[in-house]
Amino acid sequence: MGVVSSIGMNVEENLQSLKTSKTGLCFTQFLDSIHKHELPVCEIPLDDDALAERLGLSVSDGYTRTSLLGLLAVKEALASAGISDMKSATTALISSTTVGGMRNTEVIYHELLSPNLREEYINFLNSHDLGESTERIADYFGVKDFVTTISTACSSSANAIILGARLIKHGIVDRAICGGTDTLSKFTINGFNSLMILDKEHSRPFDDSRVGLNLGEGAGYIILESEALVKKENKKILAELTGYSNTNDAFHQTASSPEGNGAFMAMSEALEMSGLSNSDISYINVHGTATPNNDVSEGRAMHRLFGDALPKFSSTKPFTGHTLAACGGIEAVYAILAIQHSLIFPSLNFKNKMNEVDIAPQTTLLENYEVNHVLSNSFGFGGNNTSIIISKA
Amino acid sequence: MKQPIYINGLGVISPQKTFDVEGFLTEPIEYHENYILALDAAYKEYINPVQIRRMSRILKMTLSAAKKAMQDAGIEKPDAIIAGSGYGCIDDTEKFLLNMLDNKEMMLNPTAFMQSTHNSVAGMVALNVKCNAYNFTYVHRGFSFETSLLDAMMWMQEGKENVLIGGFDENSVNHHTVTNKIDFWKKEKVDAFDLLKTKTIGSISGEGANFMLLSSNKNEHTYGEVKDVKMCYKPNEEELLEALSKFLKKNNLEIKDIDIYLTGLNGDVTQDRIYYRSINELMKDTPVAWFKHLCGDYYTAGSFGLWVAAQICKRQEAPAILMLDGASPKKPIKNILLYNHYRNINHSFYLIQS
Repeated sequence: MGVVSSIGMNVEENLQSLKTSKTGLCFTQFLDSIHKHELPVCEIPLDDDALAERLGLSVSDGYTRTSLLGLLAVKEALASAGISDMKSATTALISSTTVGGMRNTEVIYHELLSPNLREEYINFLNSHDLGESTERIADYFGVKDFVTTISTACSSSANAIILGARLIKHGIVDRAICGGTDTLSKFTINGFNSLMILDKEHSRPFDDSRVGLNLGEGAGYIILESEALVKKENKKILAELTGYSNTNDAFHQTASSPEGNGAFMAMSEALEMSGLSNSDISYINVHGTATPNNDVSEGRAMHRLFGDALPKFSSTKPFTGHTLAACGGIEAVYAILAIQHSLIFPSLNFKNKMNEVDIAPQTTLLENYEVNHVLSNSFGFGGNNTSIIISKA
Repeated sequence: MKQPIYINGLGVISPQKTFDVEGFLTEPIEYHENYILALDAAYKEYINPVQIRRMSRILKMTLSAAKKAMQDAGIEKPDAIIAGSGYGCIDDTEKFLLNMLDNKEMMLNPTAFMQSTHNSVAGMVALNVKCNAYNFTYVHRGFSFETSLLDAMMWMQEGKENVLIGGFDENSVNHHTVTNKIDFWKKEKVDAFDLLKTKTIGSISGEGANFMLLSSNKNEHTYGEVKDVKMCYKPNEEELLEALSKFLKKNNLEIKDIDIYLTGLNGDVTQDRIYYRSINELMKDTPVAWFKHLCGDYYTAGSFGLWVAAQICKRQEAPAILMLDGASPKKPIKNILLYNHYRNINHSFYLIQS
């Protein structure tokens, strides 16, 4: 597994921040937006050149910030899985993003259209689409067998994990690098701001006073390998993917149904696939964006499914911000960390239960808590709902 | 694949008369620009008037095409909806981006932002037919549609009966301006039907919304069967030939069994020369067809190619406009090999059988 976020440039740094309640929320150093002093974001405190330097690359070769974050996280994931030779097994790269190269495009858009394009921008002429960062990652590490990109808004990288599992199940590949990468951009900040779902303060998932989310950036990837490959190479297993489901709420283009129908179905179907009962779930890493709509919908769905026997749950988005396509990958890493270290991470900034549903997240770090099965939710625009279950191996 | 996969419904909006017509390319339209648009359909027959006013053109195209594909197959609600697009809703993306830049981030209307997300098409179709099932959007350049097809085929092996898939991309002036600078498109005026006679770089930029209802049931709606699809990422010539050979072998076929070799030739002299040469040599005794002179080139043009193959299978005829060098296939037409690539990067083989 590999992760970069505003709370750390690798898995270990992320773990330390999660354990010490250190949030990545700040005002942007790098984005030239009129909202830069008003809307806080969870920004990685390195500029593009500094990120590229860590990879031995030069930004002027056309590396977008999205590609750089993805490269850093995949690099850590491959090292952690002990993979150096892509030819040792059939390998897929399944990445995801919602805005691709937009962070770079929006800065030089008029330049790109102008007849007198400056030389330094030539390598960015084909860097906008969402597949571009995936191909940069594939080429850097030499992945050739299977390469694709998913975009299902905020559920994208959880869906990348599902596709990876299914490609392995069908014998198409032996292993899959699955996750997502997204960067902060003026485009997304203004988009979410025009929908009036950004909070000017720290976001407060599941709190009655919540008004919206904080945006973040980052990348998170996990590597899935078939049972046969793991046995053949006698590898250390971090965790097992035991269930998944993808459903559609079919309620509204950007809002969730008040009863959380899509969320309820996704969680129920993932549980059914895993063969686990409700009481086996030790921890739910909720989508928990802190928008008024998401948290009521998700909360009601959890309450419907688990009743009064609701497992411990928390949203880690107050740490990282909402990293859009990357959140499913980042939170899958956090689920594995919870299992490995017997931890439940706190849901920051929570004070009072919502009026609509009588549930409260875990607000402090719980240590020495045996975590066997984690349910991780990722829900998004377009009604896309995904739940996955990660279990102790 | 154990479970056969049939194409039972088609809904295709393209620069040709492919929607709400009986004939199969009976009146082909020749374009003379390097930027061609799909013919607008009677969207009002597929979308209610309240909804239609707020929808962008690509949303109208895709929803109409998706509904048509389901109607054609006699299916009201599929068991999964999977869409693929290289650029997504690029027009709304550019609209929101330009508004943001020009209005200095003030007074922004969220509609374009909401509709700009790549998954808004698959989400909208699900919303329209109240489909809570699996819903996915692939956005990987010249693999966007092909991954959608592969995903659908995997699901049908797992028991889903009816899966709606679609490839869509729209042209936009700004995007065309940007990609023209990296020689995606021809600089000179070109007669589309003579595209292969040009000796220059670039192709013609096209668009389309091409949906299909795949089913595990063979019935009176069936056009043909999708036997297999294979993607190859940045192969060299040797790897590509090896992939083709494996692909045919896996499906128990030899080159002589292929009745039509349907190519994605796009008139870019550098791309066509390198990659089609070796396969064309291999297929020299097989009748060759092509389709990008009809729909233009775009990331999901393979979905138009699959529509062509499905129509040929059902009708057992290939209109002359599709055939190269006046070739005419022997009948019955059983196996069609479709080979397409986007900019030498994303290569794909499809096998379609009648």
